[in-house]
Amino acid sequence: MISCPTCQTQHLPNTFFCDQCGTALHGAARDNRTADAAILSTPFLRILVQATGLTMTLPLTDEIVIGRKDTDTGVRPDVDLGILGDSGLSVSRTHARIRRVGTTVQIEDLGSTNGTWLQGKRLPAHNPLALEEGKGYEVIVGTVHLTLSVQTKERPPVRPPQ
Amino acid sequence: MERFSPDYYHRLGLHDGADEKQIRAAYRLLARRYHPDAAHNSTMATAKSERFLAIQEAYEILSNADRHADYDRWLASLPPDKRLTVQIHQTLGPISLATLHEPQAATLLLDMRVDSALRPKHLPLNLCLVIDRSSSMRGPRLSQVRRATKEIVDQLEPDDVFSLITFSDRATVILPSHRNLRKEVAKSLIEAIEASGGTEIYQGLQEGMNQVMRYHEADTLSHLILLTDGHTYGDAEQCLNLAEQAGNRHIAITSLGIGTDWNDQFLDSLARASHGTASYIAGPTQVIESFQNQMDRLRAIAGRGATLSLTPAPKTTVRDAYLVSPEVDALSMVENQIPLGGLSFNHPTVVLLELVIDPLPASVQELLRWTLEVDMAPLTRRREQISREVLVDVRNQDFPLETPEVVISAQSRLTAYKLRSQAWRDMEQGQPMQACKRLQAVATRLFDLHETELALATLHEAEHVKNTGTLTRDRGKWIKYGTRRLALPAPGDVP
Repeated sequence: MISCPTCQTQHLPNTFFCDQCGTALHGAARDNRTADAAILSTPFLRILVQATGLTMTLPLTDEIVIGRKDTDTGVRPDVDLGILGDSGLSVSRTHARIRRVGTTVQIEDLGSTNGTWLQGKRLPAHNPLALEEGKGYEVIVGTVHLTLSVQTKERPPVRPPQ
Repeated sequence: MERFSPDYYHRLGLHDGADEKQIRAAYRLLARRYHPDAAHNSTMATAKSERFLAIQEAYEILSNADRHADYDRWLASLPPDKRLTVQIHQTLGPISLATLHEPQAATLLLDMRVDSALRPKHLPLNLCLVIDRSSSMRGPRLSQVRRATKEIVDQLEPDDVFSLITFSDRATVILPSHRNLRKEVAKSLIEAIEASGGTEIYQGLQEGMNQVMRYHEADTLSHLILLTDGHTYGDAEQCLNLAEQAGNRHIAITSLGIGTDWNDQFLDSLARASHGTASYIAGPTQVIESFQNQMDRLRAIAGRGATLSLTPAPKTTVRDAYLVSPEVDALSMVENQIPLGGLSFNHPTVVLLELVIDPLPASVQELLRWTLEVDMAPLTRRREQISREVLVDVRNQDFPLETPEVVISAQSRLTAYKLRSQAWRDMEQGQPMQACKRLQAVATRLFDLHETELALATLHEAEHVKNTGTLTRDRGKWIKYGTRRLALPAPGDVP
């Protein structure tokens, strides 16, 4: 038997998730931090992939890494542009990150091969720049055009649309 | 071009068009299992060598790039009634098992897809709408239902059968079952539906069944859609019996609840008893969209009465069966038979089986055999029967074992569904603090699946449960049906 590290429930070998508390037992889940009410007061990052119109809203608990998933090296970025819009391999595995530092939110290029552009200007690698809350930013990651915005006041809808 | 026997993929236990890697992996397992040298006596050796030769022949064709391509072209040139119309891809996670002194779990995914070459045809419908017209439906709800029903009438083909029942304290047949509906007359009758009275679902359901039975023939797709906004009074048991009879006759019931006052458990049981689905309409503005979804869904049904039969090997126990696409739901399994209802052109039907495997020695072992039976008439005028074995390599190895991503993804979605169901049971048992923790765990899984909106709603619900000890009526239902639609994303091709 294997024991759930969170709630100590016993499971058979090859069980992937604890059915009592939801903990990933296989090391497969990207994020195993328990979501609790504190998250409701954290800022959110909205990402729009311009070519496909796909939008994502992610809680900015500490940082969000944008990149390209690579099963060979086990790299699993929070936002995988490999499936979400990159046609070639223009996006590096760990390309850029959006990070909370105190009360500010920063964007940083992580030394990517093809660069990160913010409002038409290339970001110097490893040189974080602050993002203003509520403002829409044009960001190019490799060849993928995104619109990013950080929101703290306006919440995503949490009720069924009426 | 070379002449082929049509079943090389099948001999290797694969779906048509499997790739090189899948072909090699399947061949390795089969060759080890059926090699005549591995037999215990001469009768077994003869049986094994025949099977072995068949496997060998298939592999020789499929492992040679030119012959493989020729064979694929030949398969594609066959008319649909000469080839398999359902392709089934099986994935076991982990890929191989370890020799252990204790039981271990394994997950089997069966991904079933209907040949899209059959698509231009569709089954004639035998559809009955059973609509709640109790006084609480008055206003925008009923006016939207009238509009949505008229839109369905507009989409009927001459060979479709349609009937319409309304109910309050009693049932009224607005339109009896008929082919070649006179649409203008039908629409004026629909316009005249007014709200009044209580909600007695059984009356409506029974009259609906009567109408459907009049045209319940082999080559039509019989279906009943029930829409209600409230609780039924005192006849729930009768309704469930009727739904079960409907299920036995391959008449599925879709139950749609509108607003927040309907009894979700009752509508779920009703749908499940008939192998249909239950769904949620948040408000009047969503009625048309929801009816249209149901119509699209029915139009896309290709195979009817699909049933999966399992024959587990002595060391295998099938613990549970779930549907993980087109939505996540528990499946009923009686004596290793799992009714699946219809198979659709629009999306794969993916079944997840949770297996428990008792200790096995190091070798290639059979875990299970399964058979899918599905009625493909009148699209191809036959009943399809597909049967396969699930083999696995058991060897000395360390954990964690290699597991395909698709299995983990399916298990992640299933975990969100199970935890959500468990939270509702915690509430029934008067354990709100347990339910709150469980909902936080659901939210964790949802964030991981990038279902942020649903995750946030779930967290708000957890807070509400913690503060008040109750579930909200509207958001609670939204989360329940939201975690159900967390089906595996459907890739364009067979994975």
